[in-house]
Amino acid sequence: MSAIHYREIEGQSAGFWALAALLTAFMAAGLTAAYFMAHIGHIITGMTNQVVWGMPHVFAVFLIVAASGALNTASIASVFARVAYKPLARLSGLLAIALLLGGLAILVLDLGRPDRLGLAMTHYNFRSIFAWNIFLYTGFLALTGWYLWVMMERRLNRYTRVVGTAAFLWRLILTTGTGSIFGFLVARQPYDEAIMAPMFIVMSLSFGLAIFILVLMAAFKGTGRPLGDEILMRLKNLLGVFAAAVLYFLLAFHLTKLYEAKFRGAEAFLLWNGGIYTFLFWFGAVLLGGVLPMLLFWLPQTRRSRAAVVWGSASVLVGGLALMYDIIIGGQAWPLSIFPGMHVSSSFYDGVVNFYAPSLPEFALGLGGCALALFIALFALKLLPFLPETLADEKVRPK
Amino acid sequence: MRKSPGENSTAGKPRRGRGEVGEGRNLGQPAERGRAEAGIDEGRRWLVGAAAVSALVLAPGVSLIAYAEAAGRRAAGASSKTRWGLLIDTTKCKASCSVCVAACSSYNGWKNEGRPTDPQWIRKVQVSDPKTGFSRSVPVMCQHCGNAPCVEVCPTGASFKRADGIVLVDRHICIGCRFCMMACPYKARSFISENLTNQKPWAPRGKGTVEGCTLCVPRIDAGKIPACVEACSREGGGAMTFGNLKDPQSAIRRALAEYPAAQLRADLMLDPGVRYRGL
Amino acid sequence: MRDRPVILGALALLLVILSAPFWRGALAQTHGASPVIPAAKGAHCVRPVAWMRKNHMKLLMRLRYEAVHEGIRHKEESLPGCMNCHVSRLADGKYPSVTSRKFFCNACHDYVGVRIDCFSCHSNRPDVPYQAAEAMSRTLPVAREGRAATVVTARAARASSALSQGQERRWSSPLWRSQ
Repeated sequence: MSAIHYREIEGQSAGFWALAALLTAFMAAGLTAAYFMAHIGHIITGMTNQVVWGMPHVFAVFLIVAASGALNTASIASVFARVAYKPLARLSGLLAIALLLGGLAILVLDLGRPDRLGLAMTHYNFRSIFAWNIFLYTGFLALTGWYLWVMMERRLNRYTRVVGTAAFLWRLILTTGTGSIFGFLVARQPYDEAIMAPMFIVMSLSFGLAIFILVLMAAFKGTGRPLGDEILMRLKNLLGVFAAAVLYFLLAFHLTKLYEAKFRGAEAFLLWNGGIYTFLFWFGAVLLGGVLPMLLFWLPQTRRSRAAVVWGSASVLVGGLALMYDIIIGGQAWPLSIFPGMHVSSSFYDGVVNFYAPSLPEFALGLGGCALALFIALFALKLLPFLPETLADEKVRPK
Repeated sequence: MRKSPGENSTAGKPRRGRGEVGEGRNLGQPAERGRAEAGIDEGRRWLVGAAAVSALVLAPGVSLIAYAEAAGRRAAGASSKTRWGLLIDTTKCKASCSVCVAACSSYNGWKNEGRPTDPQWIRKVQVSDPKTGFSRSVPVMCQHCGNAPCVEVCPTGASFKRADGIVLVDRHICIGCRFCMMACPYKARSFISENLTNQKPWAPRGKGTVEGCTLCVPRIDAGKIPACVEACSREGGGAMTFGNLKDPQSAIRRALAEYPAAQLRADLMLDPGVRYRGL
Repeated sequence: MRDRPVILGALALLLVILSAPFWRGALAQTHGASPVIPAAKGAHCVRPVAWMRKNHMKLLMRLRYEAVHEGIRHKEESLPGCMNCHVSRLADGKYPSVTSRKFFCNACHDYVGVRIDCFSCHSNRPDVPYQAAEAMSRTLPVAREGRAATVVTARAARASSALSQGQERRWSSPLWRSQ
């Protein structure tokens, strides 16, 4: 196979600066929202004592999960030695870091006391899965940075496999940790399942690859570099498999829950009569997140179409956000079962489905984090050679 | 063979000052020789690597400092010879009575005006069995669990269990992540969403932190009983008994030995300090 | 490098900004201002003044840990205990607000520009925890025959509706009613 040449993007065009300006605007909105949330309080958001984690967490967990999955392409290249994916490894590592930073920024800015971040970094409760996640996230940033370094420093290329494997394993542990944030919660019926950890891993593969495909196509289109079908179809097929895998895990998860009598109320709520949550599950997570992408990717009429790849990937992302909303907010909307089997009411919203309506500051913060991730990726592409010069078929096809 | 020593530094070596950490300097030497000949790209790549290893080295190191400091503290005052508990006899609890709620609210300075963001440390829950019509009014507050899930999940350790069994939030350390609120099966915790004024001097509370029933620790530390218990005994039905669960002669122990008392969500095996009779 | 002057200029500007605490402090000395510290009550503080100026934060942190985590509460060596002596009422009979410079802690902290976080949660009113607890118990109504029945019922009826502001006044100690 011919040597891969990487080159920075020029980043001088009007389109580049327009995109940078747009992302900056979103980040500014997010920072403004965070400022008001810190100074006036969370009263300006839709989060309450019943639904304590809202839209910012939906975006943040989505970005963090996608970050871990975005590294998958690099892992396929380095760990599983698939030569065809090798040119994509650098962009994959960059996206992983950028998305994680975006997600972490949202989480930190949503804290009730974001000024205590230094305190959070120096006081650890090692029994907390949350504390472990903080370690895993910072370690992931460092490890992926190191991975990029050995990939980009020619003299260190022989370490790519070792460091890549370390990053791959770390990523699996990280996403297991993220899934366990919910899986470890015995208090709430929609959570409390061990399968949530591997389910999050599979979700990460799906969302991360979808974002990777879209960024790759946008970057190559924007810089006029050739992107051949060989690579794109491989990625598309892989995404279809991952989307199907997510559907499988959702099936296993909900079937288990439905089988147990004590969870049937919660399941009926999520799957049947939960209003917005039911809609987001079937239309969002299942249809847009799984069925539609699979159809677009594999139906004979659309399987070779680039537009189908774009729409399918976007659909996976929308479905993924819907699934995150269902998991995080739907899981809190269902009331706690303090007196199982009994009918309860109180002045503290016991026994009722908890109401939640996302507010503008929450959207601004969440979208600001997404904008931060894309902004980091955009400028990194300009500063360092992450992007291969060409992914045309004749160049990537192994000889 | 690895060139960079950064990853070995995390193996428990004491970290004294930033000057001693070897990041940057050790990494710089091999690259320095090459950098003179190479161009700007070499320098940039070196920076990326150095930054990555610095983060990897520093992150576990600062936690080791905090761990060593905490280990040096001795326990005194609240002692593990005591475990405070509450026994609530729901047969004496009238549905129309909420003096416990009023007393707690007044002593600790919180107000619940019905908004979903308003705090509530203790509340009366009307429980009824849809199949039999059996109904009770039950005061529910932080259960001060022996295996508290909120203590386990708190990332900074702000949610902690005192030696005498009271589960508290150290609001100086709380970062307001609300994970404890996700983890609590009893919805015992509230998050303060707005700026507060006129706090009670003995019950500081502020925006951005999480709070819940403290079993009135200022009163307990002064040898008194919680405000709800006192109010119930004076004005309510006398349903609450407070005492030391570890003292076999205490009223609460004798009461628990005589009649069975239930735990809320006993299936979770959280070992709560609050028990209910008549449920 | 074409950009060298810009980069060097930006770096120089950054150095100027980062070193601001030093040269601003040197400049400020020409004004000769000092913090106006409100007078305290009592004969002397729990520690010598010079020691306190240097170490009060360490003392507060230790007392904080002991009170919250270990339940060891001192009467005078505590935040309310400090405020008992150091925080007095103003001319209009009210305690100074936690954001005003007349509040004891802010007198110095505003001057040196070190923001403190204590009073977003802690009250500006001095208090001794034990006495407050005692005073609280004294005002709890005691059930008596006859009159108690109407009192209890009326109170219970009000209590069973959503908590209203009136109830707080009923329970609060007479000492604080004027606040």
